[in-house]
Amino acid sequence: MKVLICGATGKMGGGMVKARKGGPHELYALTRDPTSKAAEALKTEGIPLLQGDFNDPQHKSCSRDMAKLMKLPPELLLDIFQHLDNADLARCKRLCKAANEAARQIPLQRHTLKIDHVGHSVWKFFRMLLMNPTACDRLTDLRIEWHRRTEDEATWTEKWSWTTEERHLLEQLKSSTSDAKSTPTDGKFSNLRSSLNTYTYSGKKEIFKVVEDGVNSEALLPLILYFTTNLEILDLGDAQLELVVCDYYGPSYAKYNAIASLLPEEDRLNREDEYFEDDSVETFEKFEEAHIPGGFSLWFQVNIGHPGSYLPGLLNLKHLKHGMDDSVFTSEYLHGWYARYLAPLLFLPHIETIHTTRCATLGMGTHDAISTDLRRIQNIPVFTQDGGESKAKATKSSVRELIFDDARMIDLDYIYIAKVTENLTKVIISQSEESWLLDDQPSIVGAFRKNNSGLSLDNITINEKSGEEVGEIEASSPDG
Amino acid sequence: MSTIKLLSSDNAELAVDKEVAERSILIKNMLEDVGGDMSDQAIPIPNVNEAVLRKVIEWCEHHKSDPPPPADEDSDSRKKSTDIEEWDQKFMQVDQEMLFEIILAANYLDIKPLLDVGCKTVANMIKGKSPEEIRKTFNIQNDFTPEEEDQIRRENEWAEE
Repeated sequence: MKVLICGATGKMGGGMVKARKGGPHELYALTRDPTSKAAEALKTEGIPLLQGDFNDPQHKSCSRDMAKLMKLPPELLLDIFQHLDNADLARCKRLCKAANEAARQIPLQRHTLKIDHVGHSVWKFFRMLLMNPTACDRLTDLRIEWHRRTEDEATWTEKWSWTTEERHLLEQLKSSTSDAKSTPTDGKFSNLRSSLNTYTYSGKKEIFKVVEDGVNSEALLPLILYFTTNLEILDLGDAQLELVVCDYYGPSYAKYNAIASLLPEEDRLNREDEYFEDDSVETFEKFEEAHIPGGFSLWFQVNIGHPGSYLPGLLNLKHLKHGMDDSVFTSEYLHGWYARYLAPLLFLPHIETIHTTRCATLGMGTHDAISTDLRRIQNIPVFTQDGGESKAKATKSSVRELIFDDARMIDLDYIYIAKVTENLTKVIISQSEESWLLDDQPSIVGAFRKNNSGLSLDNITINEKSGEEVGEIEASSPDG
Repeated sequence: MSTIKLLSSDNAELAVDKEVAERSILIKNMLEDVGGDMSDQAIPIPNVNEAVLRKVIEWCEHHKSDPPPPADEDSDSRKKSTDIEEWDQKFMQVDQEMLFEIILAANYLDIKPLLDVGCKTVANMIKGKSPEEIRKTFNIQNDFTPEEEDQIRRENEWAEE
């Protein structure tokens, strides 16, 4: 009988070889390394060597046949993979071809983008989209977390760099989205063509430069929204508008240090201890300006578009949450994200709920009040797909629920917003700063109720008081 | 209570309470189709051997009075969850051979909750592991070329922290 002795170069196996040698059975020895000293010794004793390792699945000859997972019918493999989150699924795609194929069938339905996280995950996510443009076809739920650089060195996310091949893909994306008429219809991003055809918003043009630079991953958000045409939920969290989250006013040593970490070596050293030369301050400020849209804005906000020409990822959006992180502003003056960007969001074709935190206008009568923006948007002619101009303009918002947390707009703004709504069933306005308390609350209640027949007094709340308690006055039209 | 007999692929005859056996939708439908009394004749289960069948019956026995699963069975949160109740966790502490046999048997016999527990158990064995660790755990052979592997690694890097 043939006998294979496992671990023949070890203590037990070696002893077994000794005990059985010269017996009636034909001995073979299994060894991981037939060139080892102990193995050589066995060979000289006339024991044939077989190479193999129990931990090495490549050597089928010695592994027990337990690769059962990949032998399951594909539908059962899918049943298993369905219980995995994105990270585990991504690892399963790397196991083998069959696992890759199965894992790819599980659509990506929700994802969280970690803006400027040190792990570069947003850059990597976008790189995946460049390689695989249909990966987000079924994405319905997108959330944003903000991980901007702070004075803490551990948060200083390095610049992201694209490979030549990836730059080429970016270039392709840029050309297939910049002018729909002049580019060929084939190519990697042709599936984006129909949704991007109508998106002619000018804000998008400079964004590719910022994306190529690899510093501000927030700039990727509008581009990601090119690929997510079935998105229903977008939660922007408390947006951090600047590249570095430090005290905003005045030149800040901490902030410039964080920026300096992104500069080429020779520009970094242009400082003395805790003091920056004027010219280096200028360098830092220019650097920051080159990567953010400026004016307290996000690349997302300046790229939203308008009725008839929205970012594709907003066309099916139902629920939007948008706040702003103001922890870095030391001024007693209240900032917020500008209501001028709320205006186009109100007219998204399928929007149902909008939940804002710290949405602000600067004051009555200024260009930052929302009325101008609402009127501008309502007057934009909506172009139809075939190039003709439709007479229909956006007049009313489909929104059902409006929530303004830590609200920072003035009374008239809410009255103007009320005028573009008709389906509201719930309105909540809460202010955290007493000095900004709305003084004409009954007119706000009146305006919302007048335009929304489905809105009961119980379902409108201003600073924790119901419409009943606030009372309502039918406001005379603010337009005069 | 009426008893029925099941015949495993290796010709073992097992007597089971009808109520217990009816956790299997396959058997339940079969009994309904036949209509009459099956107490004198064993139902052949040709895809499942005795050891696995005993294990499956053990599970059905324990879960015989479970309420039917909630209507929103396909809700995403339920799917993603890999929580397994304690008894089931213990029940699933078997070798991989048996684990996959149970999954196949649950699928064949149409016992959704058992299939679910089995799939969750495997999912838990995958969770948090590196591709290399998963390959080792399940003895999976990497059939990618180094170039393909690199491409797929880069494509999937976004999901890692």
